[in-house]
Amino acid sequence: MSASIAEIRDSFFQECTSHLEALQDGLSEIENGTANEETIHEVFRAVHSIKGGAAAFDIVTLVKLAHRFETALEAVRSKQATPDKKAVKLFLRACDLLGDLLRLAGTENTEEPEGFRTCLSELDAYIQNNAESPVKSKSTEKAASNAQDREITSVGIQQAEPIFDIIFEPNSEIFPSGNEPLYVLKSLYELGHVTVTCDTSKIPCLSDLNPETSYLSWKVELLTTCDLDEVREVFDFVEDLCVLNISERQQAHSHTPNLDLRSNRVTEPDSNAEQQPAEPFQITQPDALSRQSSVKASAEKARFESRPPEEITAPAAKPTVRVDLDRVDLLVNQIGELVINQAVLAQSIATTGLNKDASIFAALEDFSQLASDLQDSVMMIRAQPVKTLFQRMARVVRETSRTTQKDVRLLTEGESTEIDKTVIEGLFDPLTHIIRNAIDHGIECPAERSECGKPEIGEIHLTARHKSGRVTIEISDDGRGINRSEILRKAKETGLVDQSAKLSISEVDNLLFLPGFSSSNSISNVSGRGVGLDIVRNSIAAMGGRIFVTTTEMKGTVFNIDLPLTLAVQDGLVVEVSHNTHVIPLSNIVETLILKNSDIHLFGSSTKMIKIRDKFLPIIDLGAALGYRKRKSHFDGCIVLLIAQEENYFALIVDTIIEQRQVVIKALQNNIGTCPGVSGATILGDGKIALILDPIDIVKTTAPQNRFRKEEFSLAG
Amino acid sequence: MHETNKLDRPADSELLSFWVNGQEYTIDVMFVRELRGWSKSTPLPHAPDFVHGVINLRGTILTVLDLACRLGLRPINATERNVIIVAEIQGEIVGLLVDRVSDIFSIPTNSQQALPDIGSGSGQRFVTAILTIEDRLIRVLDLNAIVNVDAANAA
Amino acid sequence: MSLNILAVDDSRTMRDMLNLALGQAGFTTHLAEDGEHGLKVLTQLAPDAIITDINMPNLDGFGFIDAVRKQQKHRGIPILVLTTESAPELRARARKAGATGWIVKPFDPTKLVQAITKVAG
Repeated sequence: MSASIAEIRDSFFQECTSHLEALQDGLSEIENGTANEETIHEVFRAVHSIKGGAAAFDIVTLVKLAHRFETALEAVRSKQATPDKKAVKLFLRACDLLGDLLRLAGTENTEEPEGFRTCLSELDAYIQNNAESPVKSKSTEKAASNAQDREITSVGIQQAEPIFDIIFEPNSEIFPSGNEPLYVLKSLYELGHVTVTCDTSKIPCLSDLNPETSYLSWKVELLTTCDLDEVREVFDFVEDLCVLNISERQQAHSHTPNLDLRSNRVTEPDSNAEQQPAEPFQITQPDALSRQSSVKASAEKARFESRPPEEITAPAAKPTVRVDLDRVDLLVNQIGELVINQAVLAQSIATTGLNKDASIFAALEDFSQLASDLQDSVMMIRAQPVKTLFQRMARVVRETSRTTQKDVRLLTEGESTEIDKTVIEGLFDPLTHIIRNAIDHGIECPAERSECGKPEIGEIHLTARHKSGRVTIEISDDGRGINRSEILRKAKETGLVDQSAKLSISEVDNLLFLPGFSSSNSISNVSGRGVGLDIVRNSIAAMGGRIFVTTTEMKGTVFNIDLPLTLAVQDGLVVEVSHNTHVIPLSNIVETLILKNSDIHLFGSSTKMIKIRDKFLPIIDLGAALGYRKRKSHFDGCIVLLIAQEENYFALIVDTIIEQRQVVIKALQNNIGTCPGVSGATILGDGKIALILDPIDIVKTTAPQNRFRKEEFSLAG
Repeated sequence: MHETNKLDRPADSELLSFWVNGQEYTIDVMFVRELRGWSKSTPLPHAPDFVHGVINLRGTILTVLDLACRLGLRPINATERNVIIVAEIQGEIVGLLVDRVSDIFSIPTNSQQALPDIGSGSGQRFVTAILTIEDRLIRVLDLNAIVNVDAANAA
Repeated sequence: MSLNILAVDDSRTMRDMLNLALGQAGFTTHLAEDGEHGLKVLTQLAPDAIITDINMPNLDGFGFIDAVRKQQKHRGIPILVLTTESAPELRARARKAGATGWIVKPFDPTKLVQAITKVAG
């Protein structure tokens, strides 16, 4: 069953993303000088394919650009020359615009993106300068050939049904070309009433007969309402392989041909000599031809030694299957439940008191391993290489460099690292922001860079790698770094940090993530007011990740993002609070401690805080915060989790730490409203539900007497 | 336990009736997914008091509402003898904790009596109609009202 | 009995469209991704006509036609090339490579069928 046009269109857009990828890759290689012979062909083919589909779906803007781009690339390809830096930049821009146009077309938007017209004219200019032969327009050519045709025909085309006299004499080239005069003549029948006369006079005797040569010629009378061009078109493919003569015979008005519909013949009172009764030939002519064809075929067998067909293997393209994302999500859920179920089963069997050596335990272990492996495999179905993300960042670098008039290169590593699709999409905005910031504020302008002894071209490194079940993304630049004293000064000035506070180097650096923070005195167009890093941190945190920054003055800045591989599972600490089991995401926990009385300090009348490494942190009793019990008054021997909330730390008291494990996140139904402090739930091995807590939320919503008060912090200072 | 009472006229709807705090209520069976015996549930901290907790329904987290509490009556002191009606309302699944389930019966839809204007307590807004079956007064529960929690209702 | 057509094009979209148009016209379509793949298919199948693109990786249209014409089994098979313009140079080159005829892209399904009828009946 063939797909509908709409489905083909959808699949076209999907196909174009891989064309664009190949295009970008190729152009990058050309830019870096690592291109080989094949690269320009790949680049050309990518644009060619996009153009072909665009034309088929009538996407005018896309065709316009793709056509010029293709012609420009053809000029490069045929000259076998390497395009210069300026040309490559032009091509990269065209590539970016193709991407924009495709995105617009996907939403049926026909507007022209910014820079479209400019790019078109620049491509035209490039073509003019580099074309080997003057670019001919199709229309003038066709007009010329039409003019030629007109000379053959008589002047004055009549509206009444004309008769065309056709002489068709194929030459010896006709059969090797794969053409078959029979089918050509048959096509004439479609146009109107046909009378055919075959001239068999040139057929030699059998011994001299070359089955691959045509010895027949035909004269045809065609009565039709079609015009000359349409008649000519029938012979399109064989024009150059024969003697062809088409002339239009004028009909005098009083002269009506006698149309004999039964025999498909036109008899005219003054018929010329050529119009002999054609029946005998009409019957035999196809036979003669088919005989000739079969003669040809058998002769082929006899004349040519049979050659075993060449063994050609198909290209080793990785077969892929397109699947609805919903189906994948469903699968992920079901596997999650299978894993839970397996754990429940294991637990039940363990409690039956069966002999530990029973084979059932060995089988259970296998089952456990299988379920776990299955889960890993399924989790990775939604995983994609970060390459597309990196390519989009390359574009961000190009555009930002242009607008800031700085020369910056993007170097990437680990683009084949795979992450969950949703995480990749969630990274687009934060990375864009960081990179724009880096180019706008971090990297110096070329003049300043040479003064410092740095190369004029700034560098941004973007790397991705897996590390113990998580993904690390690093963005570093070789710019001027961030002035640490300036950050501290600004933070103290705006009251974000206390005047007398002493902060470590990394604490100062990470102040950048505080909301309302801007170290830039001027408002820059590129990255806004430089205040977006708090939003960046929130986006990363929303995906269960963390972000840190380190800066070295004059050398550059490095951002480190740490993320879970997928959003469906979370690494958590399973704890018990007032006989309730809860899970705290590991990404929130900095450290776990057991309190000693000596750590606890009293402030004011009732506020207790703990002192950890010269810092005073407020204590929050999780049991009280969740409403299970009244606030504890004695904390000696209590287990505490250190929770980081932006730059503040809190100590969260729990009763017991049960274990650290990966949990499958299950959503809570929203129909009864959300619970503060609870972000989801999971089902433990014993089938019991453990709520997944959001410690930040708990801290924010905890009643004031449990909360940290700023004045007390400064007192402790 | 579930007898089908057929009346003279052809049936239009099938209703499940159940008891909450001495009162009999009923809902259309098309909302009912399954019936479960009560099992200990995990409480939701800081949730409205009519939210009894969550239970594990074959891998899905099911929110269970204490229907008595929701109707403004005394909260249920649940034991294994209580029943949770797993209902699908507005596309979501929710559990309703009740005392016990009594009957399934078929009635023509138009035999539901419009609610008399008694002007009684808070339970009024959750009842759409009253049925009289064999001298029993059965209140037809408005499931949408049960699950729609606005600021006024929230704890 | 419908005619068998082998369509060779590296663009999936193009293959889908050819498949759709040919199928609707009553032909049985076989698809290949490039010249090499096309040659492999030809070891199993003797189509009534071949439609091929020119610009393809691994083995392009011209190379493909050349290889096909060299095989005695397929010497006379009608081969139509898909071209983006009907420029005479392209046609001449196609002819030289052994093509039977051409179809201009984007193709009009009617013209496509006409072309096939002209060469394969």
